[in-house]
Amino acid sequence: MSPKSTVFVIYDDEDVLESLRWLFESVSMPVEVFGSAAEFLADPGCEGPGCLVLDVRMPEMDGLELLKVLCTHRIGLPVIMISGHADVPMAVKAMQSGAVDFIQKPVNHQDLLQSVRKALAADERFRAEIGDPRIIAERLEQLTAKERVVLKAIVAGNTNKAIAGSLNVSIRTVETHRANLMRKLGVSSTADLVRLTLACRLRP
Amino acid sequence: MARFDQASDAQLTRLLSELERTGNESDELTRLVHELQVHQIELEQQNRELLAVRAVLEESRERYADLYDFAPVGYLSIDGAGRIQGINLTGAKLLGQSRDRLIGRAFGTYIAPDDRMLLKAHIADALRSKASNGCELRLRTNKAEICAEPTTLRLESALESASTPARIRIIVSDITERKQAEHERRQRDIAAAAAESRHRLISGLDRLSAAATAAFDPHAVLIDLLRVVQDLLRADRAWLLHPCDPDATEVRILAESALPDCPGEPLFDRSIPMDDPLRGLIGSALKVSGPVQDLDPKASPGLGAGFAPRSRLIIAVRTEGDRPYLLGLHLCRAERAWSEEDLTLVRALAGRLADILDTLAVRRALTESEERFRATFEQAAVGICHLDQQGRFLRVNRKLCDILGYTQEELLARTCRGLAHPEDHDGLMRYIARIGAGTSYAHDGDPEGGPSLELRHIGKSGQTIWCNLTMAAVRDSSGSLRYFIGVIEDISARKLLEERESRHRQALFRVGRINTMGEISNAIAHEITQPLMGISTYAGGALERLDSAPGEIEPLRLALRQISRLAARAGRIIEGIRDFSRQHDSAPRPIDLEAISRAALGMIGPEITTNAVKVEIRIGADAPFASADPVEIEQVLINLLMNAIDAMREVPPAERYLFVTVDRAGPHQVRVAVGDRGVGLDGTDPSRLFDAFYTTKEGGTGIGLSMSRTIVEYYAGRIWAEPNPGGGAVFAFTLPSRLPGNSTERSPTTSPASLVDRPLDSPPDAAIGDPK
Repeated sequence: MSPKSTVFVIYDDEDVLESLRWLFESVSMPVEVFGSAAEFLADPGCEGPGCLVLDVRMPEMDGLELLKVLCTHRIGLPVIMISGHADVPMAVKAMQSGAVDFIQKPVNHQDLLQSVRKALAADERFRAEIGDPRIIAERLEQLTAKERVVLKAIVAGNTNKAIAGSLNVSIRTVETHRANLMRKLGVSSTADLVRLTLACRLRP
Repeated sequence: MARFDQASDAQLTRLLSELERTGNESDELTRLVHELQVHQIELEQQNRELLAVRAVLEESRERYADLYDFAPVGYLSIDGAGRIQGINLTGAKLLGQSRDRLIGRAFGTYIAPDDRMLLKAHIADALRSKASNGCELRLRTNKAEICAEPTTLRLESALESASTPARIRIIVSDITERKQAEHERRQRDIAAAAAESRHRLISGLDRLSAAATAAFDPHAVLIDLLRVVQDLLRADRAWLLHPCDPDATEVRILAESALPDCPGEPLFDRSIPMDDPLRGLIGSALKVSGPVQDLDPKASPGLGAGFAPRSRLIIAVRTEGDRPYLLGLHLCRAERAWSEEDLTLVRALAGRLADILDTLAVRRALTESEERFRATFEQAAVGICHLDQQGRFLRVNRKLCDILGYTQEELLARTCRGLAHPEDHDGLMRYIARIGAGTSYAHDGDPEGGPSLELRHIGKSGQTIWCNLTMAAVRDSSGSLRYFIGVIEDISARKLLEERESRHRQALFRVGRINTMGEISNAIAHEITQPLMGISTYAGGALERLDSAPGEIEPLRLALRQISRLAARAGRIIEGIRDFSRQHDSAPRPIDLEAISRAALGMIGPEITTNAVKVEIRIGADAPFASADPVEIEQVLINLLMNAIDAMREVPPAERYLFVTVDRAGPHQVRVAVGDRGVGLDGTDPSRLFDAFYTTKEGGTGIGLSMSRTIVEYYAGRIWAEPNPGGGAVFAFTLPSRLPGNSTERSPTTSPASLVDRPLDSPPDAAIGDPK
């Protein structure tokens, strides 16, 4: 049987960590807390199912670095970033790197819970839809060379306009490629696209 | 005559008796007898007359014999060979022999042997019938009476007329007493003359001495001295020449005294070139110790300009400290044979003159030194005073009066303590006691251990005057204190400047603080959001539980406890921020740099935490305390630490490492260094590193290092940067070390205890204000 979806929390501040654990327990969500990214990665259950809640700014390994590491470890969990006001640029980067949501401090607990519920649902849906990563690999095989290039550019966070510029084609062409590859891969949003590629070790 | 009378009488009687026997023979015979009888009567008459005459004669003879014998003078006749032929009683008595033993003996044997030649000559003169003035001779004395004064005789001799062989009659008179009287009178005269000469000498010397001390001006003294010499020796001119040195190229008449009507120009203050006669003159004076009479006074024209000296006496005056002088005396109107007494006097005067010249030289030196000292004392640009052990003023100079605004008299009636600011009394008394006890100066920056004391005086008009007092004890040979010398400088202006500088420094310090606060505000914000987020999350969870399971109170209690704890944590962070902006009284005191380093690390704890910087503190085993204001030095450390962290922003978090070391850096210095593994000093201008507004950081103000230098240098320290051998940079500064005092502040802040208790090799990962 597949394990129950869990909220994984990584936070460097123990007090905050414990408060988050208490919050998720209050709404009867399975929760596991980690003081650092390294602790989380060392945990055997880190592949999910579930979602990841973490502070964008942490010593030693911050949220962005963790995203990269998750990618190399083929961990396709949806990620919710908690960030301070000053960390907005970093949060934007995080979104482009595949985070599903970011919540600004001070955190409204209802927003957080809502975001987590959405992420868990997405993860379930994603796992239900995509399932075995090997199926995704098969779908990726169907992409043309051009579509692969465009995919990499999209996952790297580039806009259609930027991609058109760099490939020296029209925006419309890029849009066509984009629609085709999303159809072929069976995803409906950019976030899913990114998660899919992450899951398949397709480094942007 | 008597015999003759007796004889004729006897003859006459015999004739008459013959006649009577033959009588009556004739008339003739009768007539003859008659005739004879007449004759006899005549004869008898004659005889009676003769007898009368004889009596008269005899009486006269007796009278003359007495006259001769008992005359008050001795009569004596001698023959040509000097033998005594006759002598009266007085004469015999003079010679001390009976008359009959004297007759026929040589007169010379009774005369003292020394005088016999004199007698011989006298007799020879008499024999030649030469008029004699007489002669005085002493009698030979008996050996027994050898000590007695010999009798002196006066002889007046004349050749006896019509005597053959020639005889000399001598009148001998005893003139011993007269001689004695004469001798005594002469002795008295000599004594009187000697006394007068001595008096002249002594009074001369006295006058010299009096002249030497009469005037203050040495030149006036010299002139007085020469006037005395000139007067005493009755010379026309007296002068003093210097140097009495034949090798000198020229000499100078230092002073001169001349009679008003003395011919010629004054010699005074005229340089005389050395010439041969002068050289000879000087040489002759130097050859002997006494005065020299110049035999040819006209020979040295240099000394006789405009007048013709007739007589000159010179003497070298030998002083102790200088080349000799030459004292000269001139007579211009007459030649003079200088008497022994004059020469003695000159010699004595020259001796005294030498002493006086020496004294004058010493006095001149003393006067100059005294004047120099007085000038130093009086015109010094600092206040100088002499103080007794109780701090009473014994002597004050003008500058001190100026500084304090009192007159000399007012100051002398006061004490140093009485003028000091009441708050400085104790310090002053301790300082005086320490100088009096001769305790050596303490090191390590004890403000009361230095050679001088800064204190406030109250001026006459009540104003506060900052003074720097430096005292020294003056002791006698036995080491006991005589008095203190105090040097007082008005440092009000300096103090004002220092105050201004201090204000400037404090303003800079505040800017630095605010700057630092701005720099770490992000980190602080991050820190403070943690408890806030915890609070918010617990509250949110609690609300969820109230909705889902309103009956369960226990979990809510737990949440509320956590909320309360987190609120306290947030409060402590805010306390920490308040530390940043708190006011402080800037004052140097003994500070423990280890505690200050930990405090500084505590202040920027959020920055260290959020940047994941590893921190190491190394404290040398003999690291001394420093003397400075703790809060300002803490800020210097914060600046250096912030720079170190900034320098490592581009370095991967695992390699972010900084160290703080505190070490002894010499006998009186302590060194603090902050090292990092950041970008290093490349691309910076080392000479401008500590300049204001020089920065290489994006968004940097360029104030931190400049302010650090201002603070460190204010406390007599030094600050510099050097490459860290393992990469990065080291910023270090020194401060004067000092012994920890009783008032030592272990730490300027109350917050950094958490850091102190943490292992050194792990970065402080909690916020400032953690409970201990």
